[in-house]
Amino acid sequence: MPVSCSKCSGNAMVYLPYGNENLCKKHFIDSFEKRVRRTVREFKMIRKGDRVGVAVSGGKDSLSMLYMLKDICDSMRLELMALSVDEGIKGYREGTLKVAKDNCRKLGVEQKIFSFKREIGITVDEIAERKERMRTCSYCGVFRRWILNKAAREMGLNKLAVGHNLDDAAQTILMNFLRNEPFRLARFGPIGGVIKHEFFVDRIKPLIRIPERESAVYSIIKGMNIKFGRCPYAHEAFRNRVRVFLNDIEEEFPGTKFRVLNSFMSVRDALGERYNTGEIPMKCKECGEPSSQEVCMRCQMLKELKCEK
Amino acid sequence: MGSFKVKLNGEFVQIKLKEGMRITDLMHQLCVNRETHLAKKNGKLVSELEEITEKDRIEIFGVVYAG
Repeated sequence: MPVSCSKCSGNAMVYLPYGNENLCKKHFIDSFEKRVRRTVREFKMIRKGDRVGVAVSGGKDSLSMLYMLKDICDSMRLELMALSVDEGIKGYREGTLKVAKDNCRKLGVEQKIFSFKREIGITVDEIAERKERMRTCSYCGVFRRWILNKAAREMGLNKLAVGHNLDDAAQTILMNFLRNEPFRLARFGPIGGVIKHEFFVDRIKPLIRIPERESAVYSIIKGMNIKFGRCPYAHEAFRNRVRVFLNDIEEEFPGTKFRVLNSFMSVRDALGERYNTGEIPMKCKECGEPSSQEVCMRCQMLKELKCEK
Repeated sequence: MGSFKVKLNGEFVQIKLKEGMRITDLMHQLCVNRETHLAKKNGKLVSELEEITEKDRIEIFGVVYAG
């Protein structure tokens, strides 16, 4: 006997343990889209006159977000652009970029692709070959954020949506606690722009209340043709430990990830007041991009890699 | 009840089938976290609370990866 939807007599296709709900295709889509719209509205992520960019890697999160934001922006008659980054990861990124391209075309969204090789001068594969270096993910994250912010600003966009989901948020919050980095936590949240600078494009996270597994379900239902795979360099040991820990706890105590996020949100303002140093970013003396130090992290890393561009 | 073949992340594995077994029990037996995996029964995405029989084709696949 198939399990029935908790809201109608249809067959359930997904079980949401934190709400003890079984949902059919229609009611899952309704629930998913309603939550994303509510998040966008609650945090005033998108306003009239905005020019919105979406960071699209071709994975389930970024594409689910693209589908949602396309709908929202169309209803508000706003421009929407997709920005993709080719980090140069052979055997992995080509596939996801193709999926991104196919879906952008399907939705009629203009997509721009920026490569590490052209913008930074080195690919992730080349970084991984260097002997004396930090973890590959550290370089990749810094370089990708640098490229996306610069590209979005130069394209005249004032919002940049990133596909961070509930799992990412709960992991980040917990990691900052475990590392005793409350100043970092104070900057975290559904919307960026805690530190204002004309050169910073505000980042928004419309999926912050969507569990990762649900964006996978949504991407399957919507026929996005996602390849569920793992980046070959995904070795960030600490985040992985936290991820496994949270997933184990969530399985036994459903709703834990939501509670981690909600707990953080309830003290976020206080954290902001306590750790707001009034720091005004300066321009990096090497590349001219915003930075908290004389030379930004991207330029420092490039120097280390002896690959200045 | 006898043994049963399940497709787990693209590879077939043998499991012991018990009467009234649900997909969630199967995931437990396979040490698969339901937070990171989804299940298809006879080609369709289904709730993990769905019961399974020997005649069903079950596929469990990971959807949450690092990176």
